[in-house]
Amino acid sequence: MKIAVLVKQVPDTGQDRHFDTATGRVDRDRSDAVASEIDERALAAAIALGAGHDPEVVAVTMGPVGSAAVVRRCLAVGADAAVQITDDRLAGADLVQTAHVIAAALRAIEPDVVVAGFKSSDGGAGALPAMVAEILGLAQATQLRSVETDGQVIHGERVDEAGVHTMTAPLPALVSVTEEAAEILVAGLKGIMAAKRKPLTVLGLDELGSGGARAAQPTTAVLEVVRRAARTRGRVIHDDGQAGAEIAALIAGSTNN
Amino acid sequence: MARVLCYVGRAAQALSEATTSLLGVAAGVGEPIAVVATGPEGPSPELVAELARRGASAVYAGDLGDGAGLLTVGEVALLEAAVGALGGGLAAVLVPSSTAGREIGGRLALRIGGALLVDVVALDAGQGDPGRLVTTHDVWGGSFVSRAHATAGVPVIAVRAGVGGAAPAAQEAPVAMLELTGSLPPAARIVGTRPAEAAGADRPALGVADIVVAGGRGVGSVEGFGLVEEVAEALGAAVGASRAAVEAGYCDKSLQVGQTGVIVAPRVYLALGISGALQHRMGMQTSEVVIAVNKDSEAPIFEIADLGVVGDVHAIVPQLLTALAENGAAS
Repeated sequence: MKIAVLVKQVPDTGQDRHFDTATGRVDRDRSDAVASEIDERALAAAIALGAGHDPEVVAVTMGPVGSAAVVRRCLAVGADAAVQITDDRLAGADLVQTAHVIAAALRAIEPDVVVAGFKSSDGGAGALPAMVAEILGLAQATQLRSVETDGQVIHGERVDEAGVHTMTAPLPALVSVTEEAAEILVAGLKGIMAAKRKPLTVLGLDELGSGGARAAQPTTAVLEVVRRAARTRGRVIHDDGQAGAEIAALIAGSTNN
Repeated sequence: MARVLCYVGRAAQALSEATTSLLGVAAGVGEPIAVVATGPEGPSPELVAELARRGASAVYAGDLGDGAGLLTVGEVALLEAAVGALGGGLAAVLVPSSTAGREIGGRLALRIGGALLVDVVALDAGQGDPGRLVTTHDVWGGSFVSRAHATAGVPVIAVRAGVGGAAPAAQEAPVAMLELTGSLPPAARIVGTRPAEAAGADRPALGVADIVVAGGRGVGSVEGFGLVEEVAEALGAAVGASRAAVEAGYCDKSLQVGQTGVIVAPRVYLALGISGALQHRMGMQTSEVVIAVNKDSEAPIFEIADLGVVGDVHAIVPQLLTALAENGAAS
């Protein structure tokens, strides 16, 4: 079973993050770049899903040149091959562009299952997996907190605003997983050494066929990005037995109008 | 006048604060038309009257058929049919900025050759370029605000619940039934649905509540988290939690407030035993008033709290419950 995993390099959410307000794009140079944590779980879920089904796991990323680091990490943790799409024309790519790029790359891989995180920690739209499923005609089984397969059908549990849904999806399918689906795998020295011998293919837009051509065309433009004034520290008191009454008074004062 | 399609969902769940937000935001830039998924009988007269009261000038309805049991693809087909039925004059399609809404919106944007804009908190006609709608977005939990517009095709816009005012009521909303004839693409089948474990049937939804009471690791245990629920009960508030509380198993994951959980902006956010990690603050820092209780006087949550109380949640919550009971008795 061939499984493709979508991973993304993002600015570390443990630090202050920045926008380049001139271009309206995420300023990726001013924070440490890390793999989106949920994508590391997606990789673990993909490896678990493939167990017993003669798996071949391919990690796929799109990003700046340095984003190869996130797929290399996937190789060290157990992915068999990696594909990086990098092209200066994709800087600041919107959701429609990104979906076309990822779909075009997946077309060449022909996976039985695509596994993604339910949303990235920077863009955070949570729509990209469904959009890739739309372009490729894959059965969309997204936002799953648990997932398994018998090699023919995906079984999983989806959580959304309407409740918890038990679902089944025929292969080929696209799965996105939430934080509950799998624990992050840690690379050992042996894995890191083995990763050096695994194939990492780097592609540009021109190598993605008609999907690449469509992806070159932005569908949205950012007019401006401004930092909102930060909240400031208010009054801090030590509990003297009256703090509960103060809290109650502030709540009443803030909601009675 | 430009028309704006508003996807209000399946008939059984079509009326919510999210619906009001969509119709209200749409009315600011054009004529709101509600699109609702129904059975073959179409929408009930009560639903149509209520959609009109909330501002819909027309209702497009369609029977999802087999799509009713499938994930996303039925709704996408319905909206595609609504776009087709309208012909020209379509300014935008609005969907709720919910888990399912954004997925439906993304697929629709590709289907109609449009653009997808998410986490939108305001929509306006823009300056100097009439007819091109400008979207305002909350980015990274309100740390940044961005403005954008579509440059190709019809924009599909995912609107946050609880934004915008109510639309003026329409006199009536004529109903058009749409025929969904095309075959559906491969899809996942929904075998069963049950309510989320922690929904708390009589509590307001986390994303739209006026008051949110949230617990963190500082509550100490599942029993300690019960204090959070008691305060929420007394205030008619929604219950939230930090990621640490969820990971410690004190409560269900669906309560998680933060970057990878629910993003909230209530009038009052009361954080009990939450230290205020950056990824949590991303989910609540646009709340109007933030009140925090934490044992550690150095906790980062105090940097953004209007009122911070250094103390033990287990000592302060009983005081608070007593005060709330007294206030309740007095009013």
